[in-house]
Amino acid sequence: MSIHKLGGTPLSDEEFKKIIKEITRPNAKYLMSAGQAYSVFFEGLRRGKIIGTYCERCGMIYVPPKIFCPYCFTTLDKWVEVADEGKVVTAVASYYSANMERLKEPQIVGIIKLDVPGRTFTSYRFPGLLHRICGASLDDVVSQRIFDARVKARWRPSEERKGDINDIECFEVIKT
Amino acid sequence: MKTNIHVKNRVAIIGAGLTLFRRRLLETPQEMTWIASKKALEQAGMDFKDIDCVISGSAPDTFDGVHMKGEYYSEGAGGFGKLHFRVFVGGGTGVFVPIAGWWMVASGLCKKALIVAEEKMSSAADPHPQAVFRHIWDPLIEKMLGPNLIWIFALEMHRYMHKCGVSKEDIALVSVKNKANALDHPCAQAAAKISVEDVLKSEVLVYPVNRLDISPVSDGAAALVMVSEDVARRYTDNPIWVAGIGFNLDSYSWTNRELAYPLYLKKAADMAYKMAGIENPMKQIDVAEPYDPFDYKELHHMEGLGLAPRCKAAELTKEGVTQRDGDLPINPSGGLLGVGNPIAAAGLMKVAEIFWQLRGEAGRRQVKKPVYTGLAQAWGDLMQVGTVIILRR
Amino acid sequence: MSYMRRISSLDKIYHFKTEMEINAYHYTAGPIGTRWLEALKNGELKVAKCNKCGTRFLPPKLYCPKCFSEVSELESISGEGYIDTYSVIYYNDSGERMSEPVIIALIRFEGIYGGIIHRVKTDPKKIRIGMRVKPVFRRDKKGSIDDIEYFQPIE
Repeated sequence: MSIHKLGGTPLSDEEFKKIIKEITRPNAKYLMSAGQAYSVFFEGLRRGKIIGTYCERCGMIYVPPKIFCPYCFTTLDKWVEVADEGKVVTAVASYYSANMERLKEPQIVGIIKLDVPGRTFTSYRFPGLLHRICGASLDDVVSQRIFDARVKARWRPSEERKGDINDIECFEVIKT
Repeated sequence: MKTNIHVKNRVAIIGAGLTLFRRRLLETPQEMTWIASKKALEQAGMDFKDIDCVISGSAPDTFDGVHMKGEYYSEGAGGFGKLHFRVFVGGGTGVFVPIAGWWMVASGLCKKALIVAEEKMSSAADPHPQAVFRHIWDPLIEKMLGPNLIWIFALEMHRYMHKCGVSKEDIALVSVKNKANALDHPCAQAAAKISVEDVLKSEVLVYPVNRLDISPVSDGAAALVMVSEDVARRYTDNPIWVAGIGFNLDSYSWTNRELAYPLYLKKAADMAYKMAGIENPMKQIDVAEPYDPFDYKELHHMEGLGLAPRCKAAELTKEGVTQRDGDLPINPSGGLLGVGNPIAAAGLMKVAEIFWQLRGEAGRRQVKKPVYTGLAQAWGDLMQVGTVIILRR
Repeated sequence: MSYMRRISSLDKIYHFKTEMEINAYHYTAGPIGTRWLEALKNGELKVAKCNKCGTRFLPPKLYCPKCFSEVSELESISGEGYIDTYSVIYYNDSGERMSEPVIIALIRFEGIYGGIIHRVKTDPKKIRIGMRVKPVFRRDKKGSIDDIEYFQPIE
């Protein structure tokens, strides 16, 4: 049967390794600029604060910050500090690192909705961050007890902070 | 049936073709495109020289490792010396490519278009094709956390489970159904007869996602022949018409999206339903292929498409409504879970499946009830793109 | 406007370094390409031949670039070709001046559709379009277009 009738020639893992082919290594390195709004945000993190921008028209607070409101299309230039604690919107337990290496202990990560005193937000439009969650067990995740749990940021010591998202070590579950 | 749009030239699909979907294929991207194109043209009764436009879709160049790969593999579709462009909207590409083809043919710019989608993920072999997805995260505030791709789906799946009270067992039924359906698909990569137990016992990657909840990495290509009405009638007695199209994009931010319900899909589906004059999708859609890279996504998308009431898609699955002999067959091809996931080609495979189902040419996969209107849908990653196409006999 | 003024007083814009996520690409050559590379490993330069229209072409692939029929044959050629165009390169990828310039040319062969790009070893002052050349293979070959070390002028 000619090849095109079958629709292709599958290769096994072994065949792929052995067959004649070309191997090339790319060499692209990137230097990402944080831009103006994020630079202010990172400076805030370095000082131990979480800050965001604020839309006067619709009242939305953006953490991470935006310099224009995507709903009102207005420029945002007012900054406000939000609390470094809040509640968990969703959380998962990862057994694999970014390089797909298996971890011994699962790492718990989630989306955290941050408190703003005097304000409430919906569950799908809020100031918040994706981050690690500590002080929670795998069972907390599986049983879904982690949902709506209250967490507070555990900051690195100020001399170790560099102005990036890892200045917060994790969000720790507040034990009541 | 009222529709809200006047189309200058009705658009029909008259042929479809697929390569095998496998973890690794020997063929180069150009050759894969050629194989799929040739099969589609054979079914249509046309030749490469008859085509006037080639519209293609493929995920980033970083998978195949060829810069401007649309321009590179388009030769395999006879794309040189012709109108050609490439579109990409993440995983939504597979259904977006025929949408782009539709507007070219409907406007009269093209009369006979070849629609292709190709992916050769195996070229990104060191360390692993999944590593490309490390760059999908926000480079300033998310990448430093060292996330892996599966976090995205796990976060969404867990929120859906929590909000709708759906258990992992219910979700695993989708994987069981689709992998079983794929046993009848000649190109399928991951077809298997498994049970809910097998899914729950498979390795936990990122709780709540297990290994058998996800679709594999694949190489593959797919193609369609899309022509205007006057051309269609010359080549076949059985053209399948494009009745509606829709596409929509939601926010990139984790903090600006409803994770438990795909709002972007509802908007895309509404756009397509309005065009097709459909007011009651649950009754008026006979067969559907929603995107299922993960099993919970089939349920999520069924609700977004209005094919199931909110949070009730799992019940329909449990009752067998979505089986091939049920009232609303979902993913009779076996979907991505069963057939494979070469990003762009996967969505186009679904459109090809609806095409064959409506023509009665799906062989052992043919659904039991008579079908007149079918829907295929695809979805793109973190950015939440929804693309929908409705076909009608 | 006030926002811009406030920000310009910020003396630090943060930057983050990141790298391409893939270490290496492994490109398979397809059914015809693989056999062509194996022929190169044996010191032979072959061309692909279309089953239907008989066109002989380079580079080889599974389908004929003229009539799109399936291709399954490879034919040997003498390897003698001519330069269709060339360029003399003085700087490498990193922008450093090389000790010896490198000449890259598009080499075509009589009766063959297409051609290949390769290095030519000759005096940059003597090279001209139309110059006849032939391949010189390396002693240790591994199945790559690089098994041809360069093309050299035929005296």
